[in-house]
Amino acid sequence: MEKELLIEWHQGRELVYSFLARIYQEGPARDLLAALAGEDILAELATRSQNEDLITGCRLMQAELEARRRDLEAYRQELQGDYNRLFVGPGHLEAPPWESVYRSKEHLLFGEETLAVREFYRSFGLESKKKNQEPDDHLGLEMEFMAWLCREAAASIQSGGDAGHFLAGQERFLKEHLEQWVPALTADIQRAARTDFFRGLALFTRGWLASDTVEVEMVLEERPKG
Amino acid sequence: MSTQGKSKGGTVLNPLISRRSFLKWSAIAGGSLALAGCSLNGGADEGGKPVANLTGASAGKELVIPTSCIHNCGGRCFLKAHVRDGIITHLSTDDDRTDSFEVPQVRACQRGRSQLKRLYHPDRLKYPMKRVGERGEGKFERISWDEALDTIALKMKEIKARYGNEAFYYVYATGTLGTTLYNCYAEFPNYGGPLQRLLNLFGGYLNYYGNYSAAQYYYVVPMMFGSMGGNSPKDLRHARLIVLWGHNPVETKLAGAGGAWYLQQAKKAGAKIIVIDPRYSDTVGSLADEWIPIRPGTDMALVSAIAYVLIEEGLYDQEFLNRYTVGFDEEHMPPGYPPQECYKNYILGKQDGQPKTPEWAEPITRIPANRIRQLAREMARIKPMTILQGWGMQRRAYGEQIVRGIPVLAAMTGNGGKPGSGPGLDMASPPVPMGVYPTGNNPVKATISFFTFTDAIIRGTEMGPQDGVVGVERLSSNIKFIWNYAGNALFNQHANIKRTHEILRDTSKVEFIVVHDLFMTPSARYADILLPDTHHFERNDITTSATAHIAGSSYAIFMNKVIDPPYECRNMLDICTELARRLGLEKEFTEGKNEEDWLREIVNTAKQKLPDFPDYETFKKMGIFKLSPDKEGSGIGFEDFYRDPENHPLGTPSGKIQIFDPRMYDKGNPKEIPAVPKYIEEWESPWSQEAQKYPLQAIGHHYKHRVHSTFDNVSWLEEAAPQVAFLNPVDAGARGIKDGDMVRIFNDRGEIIMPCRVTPRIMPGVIDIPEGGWFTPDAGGTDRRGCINTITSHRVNPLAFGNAQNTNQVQVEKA
Repeated sequence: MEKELLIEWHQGRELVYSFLARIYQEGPARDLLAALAGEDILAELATRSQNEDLITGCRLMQAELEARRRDLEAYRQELQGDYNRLFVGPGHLEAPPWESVYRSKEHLLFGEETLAVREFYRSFGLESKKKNQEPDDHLGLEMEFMAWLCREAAASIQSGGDAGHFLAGQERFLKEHLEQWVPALTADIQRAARTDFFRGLALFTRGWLASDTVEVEMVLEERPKG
Repeated sequence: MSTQGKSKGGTVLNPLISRRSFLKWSAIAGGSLALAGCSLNGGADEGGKPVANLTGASAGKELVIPTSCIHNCGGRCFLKAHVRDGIITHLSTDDDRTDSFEVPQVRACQRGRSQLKRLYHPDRLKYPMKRVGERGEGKFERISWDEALDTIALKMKEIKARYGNEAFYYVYATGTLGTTLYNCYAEFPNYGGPLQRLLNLFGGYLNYYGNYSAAQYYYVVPMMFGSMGGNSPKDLRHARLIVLWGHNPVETKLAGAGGAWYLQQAKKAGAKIIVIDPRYSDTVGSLADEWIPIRPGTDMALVSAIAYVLIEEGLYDQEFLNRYTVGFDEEHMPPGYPPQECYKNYILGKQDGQPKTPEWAEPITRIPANRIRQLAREMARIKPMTILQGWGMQRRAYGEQIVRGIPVLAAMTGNGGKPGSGPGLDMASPPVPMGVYPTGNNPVKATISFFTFTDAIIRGTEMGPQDGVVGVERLSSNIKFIWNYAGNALFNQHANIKRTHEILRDTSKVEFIVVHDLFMTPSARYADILLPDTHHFERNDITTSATAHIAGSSYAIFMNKVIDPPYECRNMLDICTELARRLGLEKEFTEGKNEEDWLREIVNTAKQKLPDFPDYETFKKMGIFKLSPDKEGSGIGFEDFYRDPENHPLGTPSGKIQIFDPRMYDKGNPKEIPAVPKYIEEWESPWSQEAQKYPLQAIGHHYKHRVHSTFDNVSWLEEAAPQVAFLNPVDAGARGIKDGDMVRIFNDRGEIIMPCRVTPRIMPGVIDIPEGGWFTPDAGGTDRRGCINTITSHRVNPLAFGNAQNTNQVQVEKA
């Protein structure tokens, strides 16, 4: 497979994972909404994808963004309210965005899965800056980790490496972690969100991970062995 | 450049993000710039090799750190946190030291062992917030700590300038109770508390007396006995007969060194145990030889009928009464008071023409007259006897009466002052030498009953002694500023939810409410500023068994900070230090000391009182220090008085137990505040007007699911003890209700819809809604969780100005 194509593929994915990392960590920031409303990137992504969830998700978000373009500040506040209700509080969280809450028997923060994710980051020389203050397995952090793996993979290819270590890491992290809980989380977001933006984001997230897993497997498959 | 490529195997890779749109995506992804400030660290090293300092031993090695449980259950139990890489993986308890009768293990109950379910709950408050919607609506917006603290300090100054310090109220709370430092219970200065100290330095705050648990008990026992007291749980093994009157330690106080364990030991030692309770409690099921179900609110009719039998059959101890009590008969009345007002005349009906016979009591109590006679004879003949009072029966309309009534039976049967022979009160824990964080003195002298704070919000300036106010003739201000720290009595645990809501939501009444807690409790919804607290595993503190009030052995626990606080959670010492700085009080507040400095002082004080108390470092490491049993005292309540009453009189007007109380007589309200303990029909009862519409009595027992409202959001405990209303098959059948059905429980004050458990474990005529469920209204305002205060009344007791939250008439139907 062409080197340039692979680099482009990794870099593009890094951008999507970074977008997801940012929105799940920070919520709907002004500049992010303005950029999404002002550009047609979601629509474009929808035309390039075959994944139904991803396509529907992009369209839901895009349609609401367009409809609310003129009162973007009011819309942002509404989205912030939705974001808080789903992920931040105060009060009962409709979609607690931590892996251990979904996967552990006790549905708590800082569970065995958190330690497993921490160990995963550690095996790539990474550590959460807020270790033990915030759980390592927040969806935003896991997305950021994927973005980092993409960036490192692209850099590796650029400097003549084959990025195998990072690509294998992506596949493992998708399979061992993201795939294990994000579908349940996004189902909760879809059920509880009050805006199409977050309902769409839930579909986007699920669709993106599904189609990305397929692509990662495919690229790994095609790599020269040994 | 191609955006599409074919692999060797023919598969197509078609990147979803084209290079053309990279720039646009960079704008929303923020690129590495937006990520630079966030979450993942390190890693820029080539080849992805692990960062050297992350691969050390810290990852795998388990640390075991001692701490404890800290709520308002009456217990203080030891917990050990097992920590790996800064995360608590599980808890264990006091399981590896000797376990003997003299020095038992202090093992935690199912609630304490569930602490991780609170600590690591995803719903914990994480950031400071300010209210953005209407008060009580639950809409909040995240703010910085600086904004939160600046706002609070500014409001404190404003409200002080406008209304004075009496406008500040630190509402009753017990979420973190009885520690030397972070205690939230403002009534007892000997417990500590940074907020109490800050408010005192700030000029003071409106005090309260009394508590939701036992307002009547705490008001009346000192009047009758001169002080609080009772026999130690350890002493129970000497009793031959134990009567648990409305007392249910197997569900409420079941931890290692608590009442339930000592009752088990007493049973093994051969004591007969009788339980009087409308519920077939776990105490009945596991300890009782006999269960006597009694209609709620009629305990005084039973007391009176037992007294009648003792008199009728000559089974009472006249000599004991003469020596230790005043007011039993005409010959032993306080001088200057009409002799005919004595207790014996009341029992024999000499004044009201109604002898208090078992036949009179039978239809009131629903206990057969012959059973009452038997019980009276057993109480007279089996010696020594200990009657232990529970508190549910005093949280009632005339709850003062039963507190005074039971000790009369103890005295009539010659009990009190000897091993196994109790004065008819609750158990009492032996003292433990300990220091305390100094809260200082409150310059405000005005004090209200804890239960009247909503009145003091709406009509404080009209309130004086007639409303239970002490310290001043009249309050100078309505309550304008409320601090609610680690508590849910601002709303959920206070009576009459609808009324409280109307009062609190009006921002012209209380102008500012600060809530500092772990969770978005129903009370926290009324915050103007909401602050995320640390769990007690996230700060250092010290507690003792003496603050537990049901522990049978004496010990102190160093509650270690096990882990760092998550997110932006901060503890009360930290918050008060920041506020003191903004209020110009920092120097006075801190005295240059931090958390550790204060705790060292507290341990030094303990060591001065008891030389073999361990030093700070040793204590911190060992976690629990158990006093040698010979330091615990005899465990006999009022021992000196019973041994030698002439030289060791009680602190009462007569120096003796006041069966007749001249202070009550002088109130001039004999119907509601009789001078001798009497049965008074309740203001809302099966015989009152309300019963036409609302025929069932609703009570709220203390459930093993929770400690009051703490632990309501813990799934393990919900599984073990689900929130259901208990109803007898007789009442359920008459209403077509089957086990597991949803039922509507209602009266004029509100409505609850919740699942019903149909069971003979509750007597007919009663529905039991375990107290402490978090009020969860649906769109129509109906509570869906089973918060009993939806249907309780705000009316106060005539003497104690306490809560009658167990006196309710309701109707129940299938929902």
